[in-house]
Amino acid sequence: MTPATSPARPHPLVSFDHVTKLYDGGRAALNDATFTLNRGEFVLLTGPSGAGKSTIVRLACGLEMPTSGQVMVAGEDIARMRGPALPFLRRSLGVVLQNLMLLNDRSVLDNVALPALAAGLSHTEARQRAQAALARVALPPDVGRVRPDALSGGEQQRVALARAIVNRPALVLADEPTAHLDETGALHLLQLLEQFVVAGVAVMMATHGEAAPLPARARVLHIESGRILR
Amino acid sequence: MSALTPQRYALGRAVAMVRDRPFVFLLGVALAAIALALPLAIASVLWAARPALALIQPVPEVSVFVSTRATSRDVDVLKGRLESVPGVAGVTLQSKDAALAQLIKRSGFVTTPAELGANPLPDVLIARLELPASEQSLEAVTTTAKGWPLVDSVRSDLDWYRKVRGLGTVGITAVAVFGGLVILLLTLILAGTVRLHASTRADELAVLRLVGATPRFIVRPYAYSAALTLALASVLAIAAVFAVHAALRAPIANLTVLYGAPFTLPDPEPIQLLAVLAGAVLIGWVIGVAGARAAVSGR
Repeated sequence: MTPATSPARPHPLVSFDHVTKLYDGGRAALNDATFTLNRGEFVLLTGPSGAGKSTIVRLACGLEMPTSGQVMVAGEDIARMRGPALPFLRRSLGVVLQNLMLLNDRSVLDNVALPALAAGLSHTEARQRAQAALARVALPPDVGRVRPDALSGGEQQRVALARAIVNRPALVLADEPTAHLDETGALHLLQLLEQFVVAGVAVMMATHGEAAPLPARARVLHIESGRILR
Repeated sequence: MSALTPQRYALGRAVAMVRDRPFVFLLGVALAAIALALPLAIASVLWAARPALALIQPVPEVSVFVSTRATSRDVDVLKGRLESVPGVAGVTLQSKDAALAQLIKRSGFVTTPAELGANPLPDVLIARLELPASEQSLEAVTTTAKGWPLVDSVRSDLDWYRKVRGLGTVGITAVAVFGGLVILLLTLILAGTVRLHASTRADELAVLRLVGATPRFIVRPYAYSAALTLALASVLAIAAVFAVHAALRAPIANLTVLYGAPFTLPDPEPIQLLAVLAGAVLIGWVIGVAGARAAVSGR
């Protein structure tokens, strides 16, 4: 319990407290994980494939619930969220999953504008924000008119990142965002994420760490077999 | 923030769903139109027949046959007593002279009241009961009147009243069951269509969840799609009703000439058509929301 006289400490943006995630068959994707992520911090989740990095990302955005332990995001317990609370929380997060989940039945601009529309922004404002987000990830304006499947893997990755930042989130969660990129592309994407961090956005990124040198300012959490080793 | 944005987005996605799966949409429209056409056609014919049906609406009556020994004054006194009985809405005197004249007219005998001598028919007081009348009140009036002097007999149309009420109950139950089945059929058609649309859009649903769309935002396009389906289905069903009316109008006209009854089959009025359309849109919206929530839950 915090003493009444001590100044209130801000909540960490993300807090994992002894979190375990078991999948069917009892396999532990994550085992007693405890860590925090503060505002404006860059955390890299490294480790081999299947280590549990994606599980952390999915738990942090409420796509999965912990089997035990507590996942807090922006001071809210993910497992206790009811009704529209979780969607509202997700609006303050920008998520890029391994499967980029771009919709090929509509233009790039409509893909990027979707979170803004879901947040209730007007059509015009959502498209303006989407244009700005595309520019932010260094994609030319005419890319907005084409469909995602007409772009290269690297461009699609950027589109997914643009969609993640269109609502100006406090936290960007990225799962292997450099997976489809060459070294130059990966470096550019990491630089972009670092710029977000400089602007006060927290970034949690899962990576093999092979495509490009890891950002110097990032804190690394190395994970193996569901355990955070450092 | 714009309140219209989610609506505009939902409408756009509903149109996109129709465009992407036109066969599914048209099949849904056709099935819903068939399901709607029959009850609408029956309802429109019944609506047109309301004046005729009103004639056979049961108004329970009690007939009090006054003794032939009663004078006109006695009949007036009895009429006053009958009017004051609780549950009686009004009393009509069917005089014996009028009854005899009517009998002669109907029987076709060429005779006159004078040739018959004394009029053998009684005066009859017909009491109409207040609505809604119960069987108990009908029996109470009957029992009361039977105890009065100068009353030969009292008859109520209780049996007829029971039969008509029984038929009415059967009719109302049949309409309720039929209406329920139609609603169930529409629900199955629309829910199936919504589920089919949702199953082909699993990627979109996942993205919408990921970017923080509320369940309401997610299901709204499906609600629009279902409302659109039922709106078009109701337009087709209304067209079918007009076709039924056109087909029935001449035979009904011939029939009414034979019976000497002035019955026509007018087309539905614009306000009725609008009510059907609005109702269809509302039902489609509700079923669409419920169906979409069921279809997208747990994904």
